[in-house]
Amino acid sequence: MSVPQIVLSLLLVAVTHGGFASNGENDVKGWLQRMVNAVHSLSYEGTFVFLHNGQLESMRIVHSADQGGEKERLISLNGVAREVFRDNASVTCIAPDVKSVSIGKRVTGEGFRAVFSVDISQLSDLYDFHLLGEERVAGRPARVVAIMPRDGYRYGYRVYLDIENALPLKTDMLTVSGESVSQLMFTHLQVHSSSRDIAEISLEGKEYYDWVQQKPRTAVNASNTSPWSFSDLPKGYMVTLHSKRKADQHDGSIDHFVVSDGLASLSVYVEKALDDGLLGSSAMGTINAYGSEVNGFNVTAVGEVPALTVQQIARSIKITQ
Amino acid sequence: MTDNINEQISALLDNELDLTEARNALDYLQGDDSLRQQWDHYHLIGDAMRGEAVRLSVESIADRVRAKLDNEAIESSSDHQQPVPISRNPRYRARWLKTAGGGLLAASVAAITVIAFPPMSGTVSDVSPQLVVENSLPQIQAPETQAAPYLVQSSSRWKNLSKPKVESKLNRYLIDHNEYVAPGGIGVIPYTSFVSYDTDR
Repeated sequence: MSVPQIVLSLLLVAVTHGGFASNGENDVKGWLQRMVNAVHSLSYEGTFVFLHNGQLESMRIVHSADQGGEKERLISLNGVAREVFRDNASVTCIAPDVKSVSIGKRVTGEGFRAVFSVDISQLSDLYDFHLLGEERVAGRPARVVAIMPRDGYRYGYRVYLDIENALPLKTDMLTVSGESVSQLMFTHLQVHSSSRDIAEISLEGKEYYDWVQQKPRTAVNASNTSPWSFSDLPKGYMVTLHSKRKADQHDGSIDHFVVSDGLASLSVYVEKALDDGLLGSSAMGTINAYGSEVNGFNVTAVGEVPALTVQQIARSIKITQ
Repeated sequence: MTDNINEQISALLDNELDLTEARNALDYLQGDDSLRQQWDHYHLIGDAMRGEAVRLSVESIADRVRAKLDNEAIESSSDHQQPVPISRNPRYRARWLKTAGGGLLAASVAAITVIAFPPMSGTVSDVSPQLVVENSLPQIQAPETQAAPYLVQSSSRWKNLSKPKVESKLNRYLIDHNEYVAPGGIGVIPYTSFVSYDTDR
């Protein structure tokens, strides 16, 4: 056998092995990629229930997508009728209970990237991916994908994907030891073949609402201009975005860091400690928060990650200049 | 010798010994800890093979029986049948008598006795498992009503906080953060936490 033949044989073996080894993984990857595409590109509306900490909520979502982009409306069906409307340009959050409307510009453009990417090869050090069997949710057949965290710094998921269109019909969020954190499940879902108009939000008594225009922000690309740096982040987590904007309540500015492991994400906010800030731990629903004061600044970490993670990340920020 | 005794214990378990042999085997059992453990093992194996529920315990079943019996007053046998021949060691007899008639042991333990002494007291059903539960477990008490969880209508609020300013700051952070959450990514719909948040209650 000549040298080129040997090389060719080795290559063939390598390719064959690679193909077999990643077969299952590719399936999972394919399903998750289909899911991300479906969530953004399809027009659908449905009702889902959201269970967390023994509390059950019901919400309605209407999502429309066409060449002009996406529009989405999320409405609480129980309790206070809170509502969020998003399109390509802005996010409007309406809280009738506190007569507040908050309008923010959508974060787009250079320097801002979506946190989530279905890069299983990059995530495989942190999560195990498994394709499970079939189930039935909201009257539709679903394929189940399990995403298991390899440590306690992140939650895992069991996602039930519509076999026909890969929309997530049910999502269980679980701790590393398999305890349920939350469950989100559609009880009814209708997928439209074309985009639908979503009614503009109509508010009765607009004049009584407090309209808050969120401050524009700028991305901070050069990390060396920031006096803040993170040391000792939990495995796999890195700062994926740093932006700066004017503070709402005072003249100073707020530094905002998004820290992500590629799947889980949290935000760390740093602003001058002029008024009350969170000191210690808090939680709401599936969100954990941890705050501390560092050199006269309030540091607050907020995200859908375990309490341990917000705490460690909030504590890992240091001022270096 | 040991093998012989083991065989006898095994035969006793299978109810294959005549009365004299059974008596001897039981005497051995009473005086030898390791034999009693062996007896337990045979029973566990038998239970498992028959597909019955097997409850493993550090404490040997036979020792539990002994302890149980030691704690019981030796009753007069007047209200019991006399299933064991007169020639048996009186102390020994009284203990096992109590087991047979007292109905204070778990059904599985009682079954051991019944197998060992077929003429003693009839059937397993003589022993009431309900009594066992009442005697061996602490009394179950109905929990008292806890008013607090009932009198709260909703709990979608930041925990451990009583400062409205801090809460509203966290809310602003949360709304802002949602923009960066996996956008519909992993099936968790952004802003669900905001929408479910309840300030009034």
